[in-house]
Amino acid sequence: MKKRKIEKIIREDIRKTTPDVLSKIDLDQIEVKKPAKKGFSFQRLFNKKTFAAALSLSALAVLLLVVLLPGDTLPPGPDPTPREYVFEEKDEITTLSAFSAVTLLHQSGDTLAHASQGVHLSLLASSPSQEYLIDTQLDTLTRYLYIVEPIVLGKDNIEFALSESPREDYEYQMLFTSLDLRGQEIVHTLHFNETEIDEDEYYLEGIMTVEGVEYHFEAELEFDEDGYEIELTATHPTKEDTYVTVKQEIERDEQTFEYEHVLYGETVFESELTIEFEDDEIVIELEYEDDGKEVEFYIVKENNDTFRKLRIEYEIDTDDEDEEGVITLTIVFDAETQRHQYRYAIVIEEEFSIIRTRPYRLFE
Amino acid sequence: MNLKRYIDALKIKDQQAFEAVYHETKHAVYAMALGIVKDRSLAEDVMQESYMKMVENIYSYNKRYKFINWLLTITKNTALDTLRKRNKETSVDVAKSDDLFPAVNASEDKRLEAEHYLSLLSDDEQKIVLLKTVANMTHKEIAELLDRPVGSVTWKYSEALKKMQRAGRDAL
Repeated sequence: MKKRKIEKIIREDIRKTTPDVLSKIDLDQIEVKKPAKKGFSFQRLFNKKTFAAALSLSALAVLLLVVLLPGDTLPPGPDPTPREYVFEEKDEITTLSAFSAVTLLHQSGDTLAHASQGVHLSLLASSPSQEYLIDTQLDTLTRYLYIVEPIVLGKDNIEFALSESPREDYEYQMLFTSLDLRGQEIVHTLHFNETEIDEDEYYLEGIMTVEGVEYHFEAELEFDEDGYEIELTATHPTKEDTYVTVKQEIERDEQTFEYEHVLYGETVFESELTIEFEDDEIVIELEYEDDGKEVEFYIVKENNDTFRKLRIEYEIDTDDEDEEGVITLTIVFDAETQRHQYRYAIVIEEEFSIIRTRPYRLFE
Repeated sequence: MNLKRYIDALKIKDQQAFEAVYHETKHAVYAMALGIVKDRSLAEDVMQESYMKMVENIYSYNKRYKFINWLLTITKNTALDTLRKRNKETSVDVAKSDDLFPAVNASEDKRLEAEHYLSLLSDDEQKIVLLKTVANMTHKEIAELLDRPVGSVTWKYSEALKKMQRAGRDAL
């Protein structure tokens, strides 16, 4: 059974059986404790012993801070939501959403979810030659890796530069520079307009160009105290009613992207990407259904991992069979084709090892 | 939902604000209580007492922190106090009691499926699974609430899911 299904069973059962104690609580019977007001007293303040002790302790604390803390580092506070990788500025949020939607749309071709042109299989001599469930999903995973790379490499490897747009129809230009897993810099350019529709609510519309193709996007962005929510739609320039919509939401330490691919008016693929930030690693979960298969990938980047490597765990469930495995993803240069490739070293059910490659074809 | 907007109203015991907070948090509070006392009736008492303490101590809430985390800390402490009192009264270690999540056969009917799955887990795993699935908390928040390392919470959650998955397969 899928993990998500078990989680759902527990959630629903417990919610269903939560007792109602509201009627048992009478607010009138509760005495709200108000904070005690301490009167100001010079006598207390200047009580010699207390004052001397407080002064000594303060001096000791300051001394410890100066000695123990390197540079201008502050002591770690109890903030429960550190957000090392989270993009919080509205231009950054919009850029990231536009980048991911346009990138998926650009790769979609006519078949969107199932485009497999240019697939290059490379089996090790010792590997079993049979097809596994994972073989049916590597193209989709590869498409998502392009949008995952900048996020998984962290905020330090991304630059946003906002300036006035040279394009007549647009007010702003955003240069979004990120590194890919090869360590190469990629620059994306967006032009957009922004309108404030309400307090903390914005409408944005603009364009992003990928490999000479210009995509239009529109977005609504809303902030609240817990985070933000944006819904952005990138449309195809020539295909009627063909677009990718992304709903991006940040709450606490989790960032969620929900994608819907629509081709000629019909939804052909839906997926959800969740990014969770832990102390020492970042975990990206990609989930979708494809042709009767429920697919989950967990992409893990530990802080001390080398630059060009990702660990990916996966589970694929169908009505007849399940498969799970662990993938070590690296970027390699293929001397034969003179191009970079994604190299997937896959261990399936802790029993079989196979190698698969996919061309690193976008932005190259 | 941002619960902080209700704080000022709670200070004057506004019924509507209280109900809004209650409905938004009741499942999480119940899950926390149940995870500790493992008895539905006791968990209900803990729930009631926790909400009363919430109103009583509303001035001590610090807006720097998430309201739900503060409320769940009250619930945790109330549940632990309840257990201590009950242990004194009955000399029975309720924490290890099988009242709610005894190891039951999957085929036993009238039991909730969730109870079967939870019965397979250790005490810590039960709490973590309940807080993650019902209260929708992150591993980091659970770690802070239960005073455990984040890595340990992540690992235990993953192990718990594997155990339950295996049981699900075996039951098929």
